[in-house]
Amino acid sequence: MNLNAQDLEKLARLARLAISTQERDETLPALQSVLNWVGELSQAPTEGVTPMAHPHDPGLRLRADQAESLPPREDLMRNAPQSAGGLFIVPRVVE
Amino acid sequence: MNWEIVIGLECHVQLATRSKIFSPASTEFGAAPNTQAHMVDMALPGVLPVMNREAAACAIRFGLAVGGAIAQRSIFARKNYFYPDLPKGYQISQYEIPVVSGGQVRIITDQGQRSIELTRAHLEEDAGKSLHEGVDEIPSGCSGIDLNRAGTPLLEIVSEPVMRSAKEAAAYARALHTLVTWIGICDGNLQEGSFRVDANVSVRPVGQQAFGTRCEIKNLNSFRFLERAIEVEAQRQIELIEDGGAVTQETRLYDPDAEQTRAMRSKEDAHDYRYFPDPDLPPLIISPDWIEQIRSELPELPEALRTRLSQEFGLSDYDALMVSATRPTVDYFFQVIRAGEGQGVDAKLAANWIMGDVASNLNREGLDIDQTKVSAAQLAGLIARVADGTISNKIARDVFASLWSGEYPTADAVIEAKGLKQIQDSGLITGFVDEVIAANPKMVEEFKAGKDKALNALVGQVMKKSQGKANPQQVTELIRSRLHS
Amino acid sequence: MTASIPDFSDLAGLAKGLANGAFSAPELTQWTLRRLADDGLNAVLAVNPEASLRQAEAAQAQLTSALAGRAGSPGLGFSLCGLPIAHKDIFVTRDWPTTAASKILAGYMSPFDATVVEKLRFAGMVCVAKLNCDEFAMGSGNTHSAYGPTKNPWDHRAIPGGSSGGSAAAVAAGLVPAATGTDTGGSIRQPAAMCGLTGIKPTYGRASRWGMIAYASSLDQAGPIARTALDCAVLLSAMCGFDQKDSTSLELDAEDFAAGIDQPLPQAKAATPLGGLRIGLPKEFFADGLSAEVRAAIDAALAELTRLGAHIREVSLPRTGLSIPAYYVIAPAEASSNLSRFDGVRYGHRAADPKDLMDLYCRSRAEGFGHEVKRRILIGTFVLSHGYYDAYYIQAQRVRRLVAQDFDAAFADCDLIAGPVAPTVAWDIDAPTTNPLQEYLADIYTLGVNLAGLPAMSVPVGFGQAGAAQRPIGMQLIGPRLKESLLLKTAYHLQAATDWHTRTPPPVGRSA
Repeated sequence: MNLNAQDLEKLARLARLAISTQERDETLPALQSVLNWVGELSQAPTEGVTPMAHPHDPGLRLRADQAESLPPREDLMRNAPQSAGGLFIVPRVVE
Repeated sequence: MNWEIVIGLECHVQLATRSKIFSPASTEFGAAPNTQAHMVDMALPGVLPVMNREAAACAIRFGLAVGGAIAQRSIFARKNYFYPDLPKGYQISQYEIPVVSGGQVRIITDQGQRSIELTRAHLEEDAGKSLHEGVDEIPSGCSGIDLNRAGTPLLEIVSEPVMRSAKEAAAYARALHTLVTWIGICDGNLQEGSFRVDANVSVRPVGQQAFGTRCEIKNLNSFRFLERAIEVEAQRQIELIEDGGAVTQETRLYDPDAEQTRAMRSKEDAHDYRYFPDPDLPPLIISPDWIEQIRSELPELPEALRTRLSQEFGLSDYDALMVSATRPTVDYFFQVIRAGEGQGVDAKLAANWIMGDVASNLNREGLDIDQTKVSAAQLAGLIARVADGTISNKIARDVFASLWSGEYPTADAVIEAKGLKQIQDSGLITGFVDEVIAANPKMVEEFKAGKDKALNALVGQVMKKSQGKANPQQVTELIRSRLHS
Repeated sequence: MTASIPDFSDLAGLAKGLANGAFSAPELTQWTLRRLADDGLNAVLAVNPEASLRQAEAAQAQLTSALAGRAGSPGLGFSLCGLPIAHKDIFVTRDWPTTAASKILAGYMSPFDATVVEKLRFAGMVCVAKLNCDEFAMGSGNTHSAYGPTKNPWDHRAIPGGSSGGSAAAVAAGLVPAATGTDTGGSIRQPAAMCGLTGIKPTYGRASRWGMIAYASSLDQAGPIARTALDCAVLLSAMCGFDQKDSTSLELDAEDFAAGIDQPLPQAKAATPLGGLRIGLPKEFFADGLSAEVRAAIDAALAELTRLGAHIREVSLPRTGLSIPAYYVIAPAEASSNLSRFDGVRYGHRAADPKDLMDLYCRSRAEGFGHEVKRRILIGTFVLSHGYYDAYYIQAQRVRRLVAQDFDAAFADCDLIAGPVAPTVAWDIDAPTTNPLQEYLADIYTLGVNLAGLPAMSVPVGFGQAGAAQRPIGMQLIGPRLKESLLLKTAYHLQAATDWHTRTPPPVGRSA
């Protein structure tokens, strides 16, 4: 497949990465070569093979439904770039 | 052009667990912002999810209640998108292999009964909340993020797009709401957002097989709004098409003041959620033993109960539906029947009283049935006195009011204290009848001329004379026989 | 007093010193902190002397009371109490900043410690530093750190390997006797090899990932880098164990990997302690691409293992070549999702004056992430996106299963697999890197292990030349699931019969 500049811009937007036109043009060839190379996977004969998501496949361990007390909110929010009244502050969320 | 409306509903049900689905933070409503957000809920670097057993149990309970298939092995998947109330930048949900598939919910509308098929139900986590200006601390032009709700367990229940009217959709939403509260997996509190509905609405000309383009109306948390929103949205789509336009697939919100839907501004980007199995969570395994254990603990379900109420107790479909609106209501009903055994307290009477004076008093005071001021035993005692003719139905309502006020412990006590016994002495009644006939010649004339209304008037006069304590049937018979002689 | 602490001591040696009172834990800590301050390799990202000394005092108190009453422990195992440890800056720590070698987490102070960090602290170890690495563990040479590359102590022009480059460099230079690392595609084994050290990645799920900043969740594992197999065994035992906060953690009883490490194999005699051991050599590991000098060093080590009683036979891992693209689909896919939380909202770098939410996200992330991280996020986003998911991601997961099956089949004919760690010795820090594939292809021998979730280690077996300097070579040992003890025992006996692991680089910029 051939990734073009617009495709790359769409990917960058999906991934929320700002990318200048220059960066886009610089990044494109390397990205294309990696994607072409991993695309060779499609040649591998894999009919009938179940995909493997985990190295081992135990069942999901379940925890008892108990509420625990938490550390003070200030501890968990101490790295917040902007907070007020116990809320994380961001530019207006538009619905 | 005849149009058909096609509706499918996605209901997000908050599961009534103590802790969140993947973290041990409490799920209680109303805490100060971010005081119920565990580091897992805040998506701090290095955190990992651990699944809550009770959330899975709730899903199993639901699957059994709707007769769906419960997956022995279901997978959690990441739904990737960026939003400030979604701390990880992905929601842990289920995609290809949900915990429940299929199933159905029966609804009753004025067109009759039908079954609404379900596509699936899956487990996922709720997001946090965005608060906007108006909350003091939030600077202008900003929003404040509270993650208390992030991580609350949700069961997303998806119906097949088989509903054909807003009324059907509302009936389905109500029936589903009753069911999830009935089996105890949800507290059903609409104001607190425990039960939220998204409606997928499209229209097509009657007879067309293909579906029209649909729009999704999000976050409806009242059945009234749901019904109205679907109606206005269907209308909007029909008008749009009839004017030569085409419906764009989009997500919309309902504005109850304007009674209109509008497109959500933030969803202009087509979402590619890039679902993939969450590598932090192995597959959820549900054994047949676990399913059987939960099945054995399930209460009698509304469907089966209503059938029993009709067949064993002779209630009409409508009465059965009303009495089984909630489990506490039907428990109360059975208590009344039990307490009144052998005293002529029949099911129909009990149902009438529960749907009547009990319900109206509870509504007036904003109470639930478990806060009723007339106990089942008291009500049974009251109904018994109507059944055995001690008091008329009209007097009984006054007795009920006295019981509700808490002044008297039993119906008998009220009847005794206020001397409300129906007059049995036929001599006394005959006397009243003769007096009334004598005093109302015009009414007598009219009755003899064929006007039944005049009879009621005469009966009314006798009831007044007797201070309501005469037996109306007896009075009616006496007047008839007197005037026909 | 501190003159009695020998340079390049291993943990076992230092433990003896503490046990017989040659020096105290606080003295040892001070000595280590001075070493670390004199870095010269850019291996250290953060120190907190007050916190380290507090831990040392607590350890000393434990040591003093323990020494009073305890008989010597059986075998070679030793207590970790009072011994220094440095952590790769991927593990979150309360008292040191954690950056994952990224600008996006500059100054981040975690409210909790990683489980691995906590376990070592409970064993009495003293944390002395956070160490440099490739940003978010993505890289094979520590050249992708936002805080600059780390130098290889053997040859300052060379990379120390990656992504746990800071950990390997610090231990190899004798700044600290051991360090923790993480291994997603070889990031413990390869830097250990390139720095002449011993390192081990346990079976997936042995060590808890709670507090280990996630790169690729189904591949990441923590492990130690140290000077000897014995040191690794003792450290690994302390690091591993079931953790209920990690749903992928294996529910196994704690294992002492050092128990009986010096004993011969059950069917073997003392003179040939590895008698009966069947070692498989995958023919795909010895094909074109493997440099002659690495091959020669491996061959010499294999000859040694044969003298110790092992039997070598050829096995095959047919999907070795495919393991590279499979890894470079799966790891970036998981990483692209794991790194979405770095969005400038709740912690980490936030761009100045964002004009709206989209701007906040896009600029914060673009400013905070380095080139390699961004590249992998884009690759990951692509392979998961609509229309490509089946052909790329699902296909890679199928190949993953085949790779795992290859190992299962091979282990039917052998007890462990041996081979190179990397095709060449460490390359230059300044080597031109226009083509990222070059770096990726060098991971050929290590990636399959992570895809299959198996335990594997690296042991030093010699040197290659790079001009006038020597650059170390490591041999890889791969075991079936849960067979860490066998790997460590094999490595132990090899080290008992050889001395590559005792070699040290020229001292780094220190005054006496």
